[in-house]
Amino acid sequence: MIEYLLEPFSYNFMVKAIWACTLVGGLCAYLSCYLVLKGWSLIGDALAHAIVPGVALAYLLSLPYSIGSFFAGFLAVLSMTAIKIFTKLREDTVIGMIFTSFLALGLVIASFSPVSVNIEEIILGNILGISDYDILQVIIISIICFTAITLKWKDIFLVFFDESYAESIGINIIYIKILFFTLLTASIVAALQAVGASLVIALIITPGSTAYLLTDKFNKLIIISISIGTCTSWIGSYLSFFLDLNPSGLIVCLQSLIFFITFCFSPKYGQFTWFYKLNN
Amino acid sequence: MEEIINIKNVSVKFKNNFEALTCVNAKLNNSRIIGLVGMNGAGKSTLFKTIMGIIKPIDGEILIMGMSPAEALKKNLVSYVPQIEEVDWNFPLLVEDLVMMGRYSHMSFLRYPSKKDYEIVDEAINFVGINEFRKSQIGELSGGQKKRAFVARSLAHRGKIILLDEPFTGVDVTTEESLSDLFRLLANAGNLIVVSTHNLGSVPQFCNDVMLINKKLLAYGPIETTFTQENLRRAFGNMFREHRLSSIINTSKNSEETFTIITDDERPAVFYGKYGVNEINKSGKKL
Repeated sequence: MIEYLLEPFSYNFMVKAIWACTLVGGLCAYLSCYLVLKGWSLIGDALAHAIVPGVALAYLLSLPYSIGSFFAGFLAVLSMTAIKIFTKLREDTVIGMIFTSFLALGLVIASFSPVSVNIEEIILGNILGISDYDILQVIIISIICFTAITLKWKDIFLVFFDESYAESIGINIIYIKILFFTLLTASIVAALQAVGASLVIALIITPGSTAYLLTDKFNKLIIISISIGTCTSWIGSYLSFFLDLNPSGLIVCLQSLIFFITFCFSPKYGQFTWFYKLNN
Repeated sequence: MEEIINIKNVSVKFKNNFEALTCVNAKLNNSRIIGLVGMNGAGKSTLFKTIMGIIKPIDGEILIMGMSPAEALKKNLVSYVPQIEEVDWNFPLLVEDLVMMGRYSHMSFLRYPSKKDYEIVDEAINFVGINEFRKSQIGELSGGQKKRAFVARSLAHRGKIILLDEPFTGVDVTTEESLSDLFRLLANAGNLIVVSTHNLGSVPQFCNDVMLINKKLLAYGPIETTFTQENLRRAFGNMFREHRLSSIINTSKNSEETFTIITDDERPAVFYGKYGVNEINKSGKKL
């Protein structure tokens, strides 16, 4: 029995996939806490598509994909911010417009290439076939992001909550925002190549929103969110071995299930809890 | 009396060449509550932001206890209470954590609170009387409690100068009164309180001085001499809605001299006496 349960660990690719997923799950969950505060969850989705021109260019110039995608992602964030500052357009419009433009540009660039670029493969990633290079990238970026956010988590929270007060106590809000978006772009780029777009997009939204329904204290929200992110990723990728299912699909399903349970039974914000309290 | 803020010939222009403030000169002293009155867009928020050093004037300077705004901010002299609409009340933030934010500027790089910080937060929460809500999420508070929570944050910040942006919007008259009492307590403790408002009726009730602005400083001085109909008319121009009730006064001569003004939440400014002669009903409530 124990042998059967330990079987996944005898395959090198499974060990790598499980730990890469867990790390990416934790990292994305950490960032999702902040995105859910501002209603910026779709930025993760947008960034995952906006890196396409970077990937295509990097492919043409034979540069590492990660450099190309990081710059494309960051450029996308900058253009969204600029449009937001200078126009009255709403956030969702700006995000939607920028990411489709970037995606289209990427497709155009890719069609210049004499050899066909299989962009889909690059963006969707492949957890089970993850390369050592991608794992190393994920580890380094995770360490940097975890350290940077943990050092500055209160400042970032304050800037998101009350910019004028943050400014009045001498926090440089532009510096904090650039820091946050740099970390976000780097994490998404690393995570995409490791585990693929569909998983990253879900990982960057669901854990934070689940935790949001469970607590009113931000430090607890972070802890809950990271726990959900890491546990579901670990369990999902581990179980996928036995069930012979797509690991990223299973991870996202697990997270959605937890969200649904929370939505119904959260002690404070659960729908059924509320109903139960009403009847007692 | 001690001079706290010295605004010297300050002009502010925005990037699009819009002149927000022109040659403002004023000296603000401690232990006073100063009402900053003007229309929307008259430059109230701009003046606040200039005092906080967020906006740099193109001409002139502001001295806060002899220092530039940047230095004063470093010494935690100025604290700002935002408008209720500027805040996202859905944030996962408890009242006591909000008040703790007032201590951030006293903490180190990691913002790790000390025992003293917790004591100061307790004190501030008790002072404004929201102790029973300290574990509530900020959105669960009523309008007045929300304001109190933010005032507690500026108390925890220990600023000598407290700038309040429109503290009375969305607050009923009873709450307004208890907030006014709170501001009075703070001013008596030696603070300088500057309150921006376009709610005219509340000004004579709790302010010592009034500053009327409309891009320029139109008038500045004690309520008794400065909060006059002419000055208000200059500040508000044709935006000023005024209803003269002379006929009611005339007909009520023989009866028991009662005339009542009924209004909703916002307090009306009530003047009585002959038109042009300035006499203010200081309570602004019932006549």
